[in-house]
Amino acid sequence: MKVGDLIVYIFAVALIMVGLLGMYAMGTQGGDKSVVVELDGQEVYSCRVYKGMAPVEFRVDAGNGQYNIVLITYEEVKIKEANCPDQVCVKSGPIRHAGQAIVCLPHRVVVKITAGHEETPDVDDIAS
Amino acid sequence: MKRYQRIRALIIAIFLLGVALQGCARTAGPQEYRKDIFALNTWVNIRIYAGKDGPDILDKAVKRIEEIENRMSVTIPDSDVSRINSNAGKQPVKVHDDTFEVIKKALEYAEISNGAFDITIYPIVKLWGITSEHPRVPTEAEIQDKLRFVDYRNVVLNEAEKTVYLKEPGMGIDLGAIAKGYAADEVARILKEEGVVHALINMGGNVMAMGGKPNGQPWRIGVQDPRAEGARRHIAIIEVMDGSVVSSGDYERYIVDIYKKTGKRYHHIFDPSTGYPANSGLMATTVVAQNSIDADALSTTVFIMGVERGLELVDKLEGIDALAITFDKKIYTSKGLKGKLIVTDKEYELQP
Repeated sequence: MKVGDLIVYIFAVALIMVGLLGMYAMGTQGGDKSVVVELDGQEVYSCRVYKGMAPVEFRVDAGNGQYNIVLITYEEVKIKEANCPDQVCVKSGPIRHAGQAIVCLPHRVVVKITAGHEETPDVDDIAS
Repeated sequence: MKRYQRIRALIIAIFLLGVALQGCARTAGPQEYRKDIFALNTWVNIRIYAGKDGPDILDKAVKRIEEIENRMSVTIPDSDVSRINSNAGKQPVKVHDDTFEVIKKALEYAEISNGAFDITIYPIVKLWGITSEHPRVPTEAEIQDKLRFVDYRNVVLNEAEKTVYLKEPGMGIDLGAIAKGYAADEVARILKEEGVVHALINMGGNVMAMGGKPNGQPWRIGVQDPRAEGARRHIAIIEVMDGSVVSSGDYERYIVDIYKKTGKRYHHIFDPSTGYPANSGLMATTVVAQNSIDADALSTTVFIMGVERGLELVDKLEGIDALAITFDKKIYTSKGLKGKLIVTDKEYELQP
């Protein structure tokens, strides 16, 4: 084997490894999430969640004085307060992972985590 | 010169390999598409695995759900159900085939459950208004007054004319305990027609699973913790490839009596024999069936009938399974579910 060949092989292997590492990193890049707030199916707010961010409070105005206050921190997302009759959205507590959502049926408000590290859930859905 | 040729060939090979790898990553199998909408008084989620036509397929499913809602909702003034109710004691009402089919099925369940499942409960539902803006605990006299109108045997179907008639003025029907199941079945039918193999449909906790997961594993469906106070948390898991899992319970929609300060919980599933929220010793039931309409209707039925009578009924029906959770956190199952339920919460005790 000539020296030149060896250089080419080393170069090739290194390139493939860098490529694979890159793909792996892209596939698993986690931690950072996006939160989307929808009112009646329409997006009214969205933001990225990242380490070290200041907590964000967003007030959803659902019309007729109806509101939900969403609190977004790096660790979790929850509806802190709402004036809906059933308070289900407040009581349902915080969500943390992509694919999870909080729903306020009376105000037709949905808060979803849409991106980030999708934890393999224990169940695919819940019959409730 | 030869050496340079070889280097060039290698570089090209590496380049091609990279392109091939990227291509792989992008076109591997059908993609996941999701759609969430508010419909049928609940939040509906549809998750399918499909090709590029995924969004179109989802749109078709949504259209069908909206169609069903427009025909069967008791709150939409010109729905089939509203027209049936406003013509109670007056005249038969011609309805769409799907409305007729659902009412017919509901009457079958009324028959086999001896009236535990009864869509003519609507006057009682309206009286309590649990899901309305102003729920209240009515007086005994008010309840007895409305209970007179609750009897499924006074619903008259005409198969040839596709008409529905409520014999007594003051009667009313509510398909809330069965329409979501029908809608889930219809969505599954449409998805199959469109060639979708793997899908998961959730109509406010009413789950319909299709074809298992794309990786060949069964869908894992959680059984809601009846005392999670609104949080989505499961206490057990049921694995299904194809089929529906539906829960009913006292935790879904309820009011707590703060006026008389008893702290008593009044939930939204009424017992047609008493006019009060069903009080059969259960916190929740879950039914597993091939079709969601059966699982939906039966989860309510078993909840009203209680452990013994409810599970006895389920054991008699082919292809239907159920579990019932009592106030003391014991889980009872039908015969077919024995050995299949995975209990994940140690506070709940699976009965042999």
